[in-house]
Amino acid sequence: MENKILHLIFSSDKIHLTQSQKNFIKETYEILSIFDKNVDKLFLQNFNQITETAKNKFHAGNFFYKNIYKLRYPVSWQKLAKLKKFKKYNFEFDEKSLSENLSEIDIILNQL
Amino acid sequence: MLRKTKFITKYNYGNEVVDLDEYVVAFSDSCYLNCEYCYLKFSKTPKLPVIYQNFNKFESELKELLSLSKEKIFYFNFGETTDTLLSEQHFNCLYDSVLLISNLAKKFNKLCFIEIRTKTKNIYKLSKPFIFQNVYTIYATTLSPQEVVNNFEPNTASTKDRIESIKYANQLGMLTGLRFEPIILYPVEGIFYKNVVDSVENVVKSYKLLINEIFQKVNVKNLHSVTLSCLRLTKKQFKYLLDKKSVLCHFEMLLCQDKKYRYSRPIRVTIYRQLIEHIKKVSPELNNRILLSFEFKYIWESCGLKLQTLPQLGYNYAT
Repeated sequence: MENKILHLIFSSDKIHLTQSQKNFIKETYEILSIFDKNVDKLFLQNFNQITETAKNKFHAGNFFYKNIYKLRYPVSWQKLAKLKKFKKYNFEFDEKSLSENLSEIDIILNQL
Repeated sequence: MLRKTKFITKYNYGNEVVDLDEYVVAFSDSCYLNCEYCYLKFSKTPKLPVIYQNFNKFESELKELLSLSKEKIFYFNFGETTDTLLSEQHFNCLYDSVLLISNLAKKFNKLCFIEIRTKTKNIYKLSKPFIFQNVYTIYATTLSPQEVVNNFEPNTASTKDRIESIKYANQLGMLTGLRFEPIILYPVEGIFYKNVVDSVENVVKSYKLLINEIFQKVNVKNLHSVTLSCLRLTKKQFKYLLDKKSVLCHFEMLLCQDKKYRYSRPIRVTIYRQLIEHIKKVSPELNNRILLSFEFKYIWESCGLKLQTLPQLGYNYAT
């Protein structure tokens, strides 16, 4: 059964989410709930802020999804954002394959 | 029960994972220790532990392997499909198997290493010495901080007992393998970035204390190898544990190319680097005996480790 908060978000006409985005959000909600009792509040707060300011329901959907992604991966999202300039979109590769500054990449890939 | 499939198989590590070149011996299947992360619950194994009775099949597979293979050194893992020392029947079968391996290794001029992997302290029930020609046995106890044992390995021996049992295994003539597997990010301090950093720092701290304790009590001369591996979960396990709301399902786990979830790379490498550095500091002679289990080549290299296999470590023992 769908949780109340998720039901409220998924059934809102202020936000458009694809099915895969909904699945990700649902899974993230379930995982984060194991570790933090205030996940309801966090999700609702995010939803309210975004729907108040977004241009339309599509923008709202994308912003909300991105925010939930950041909540789910507090380490990875920052690191992956920095990796984009090297045209890499995940961590699992040999950094020596890049001809860039290895110490800069080492900080992104191998350090917290 | 008779084993229908092969007793001896080359371990399949998975896509892109560094191959440690070990053979798994499935003399028994299943386990009742019921560790929360154990993959055996999800594999096609009998519900209750079984010892396979068709020893002659094992013998012919072994004979074929040792006689036809060009390899000089073999590493057999007896603790992949069960806990090697789970019951008295396990000991007896293990003993018979080691004896057989020794006889055939002598005949075909091979050197064999046999890993006895356990989370029990049942070694004390063994009284016969484990000294055989052409064979070294390695008592490879899995080591985790007591808090992890309490929460995820409920039916196993305490950390203290596992460390103590190493000394007894050495008295029986076994070498030691320290297996820091799986390293679990626990306790989880919270869901935000700082909480993750704090959790990692705490895990590293508790493993450093554990390493200090081990090296105060264990004779380094008997150490064959040290392996490290962070928790990994199959997709099926991840889903199952998530349904059970298990804290093993960490939010910073990502699916890797071998289709297993692992903590994201910055977390894994941070843990490995700090523990490797600490082990080298506490015991510099182990410099070339530290391996990563189930990790990718670039992770080894990021941790400053030279790629090597378990049989390669055996050259130190070859005369």
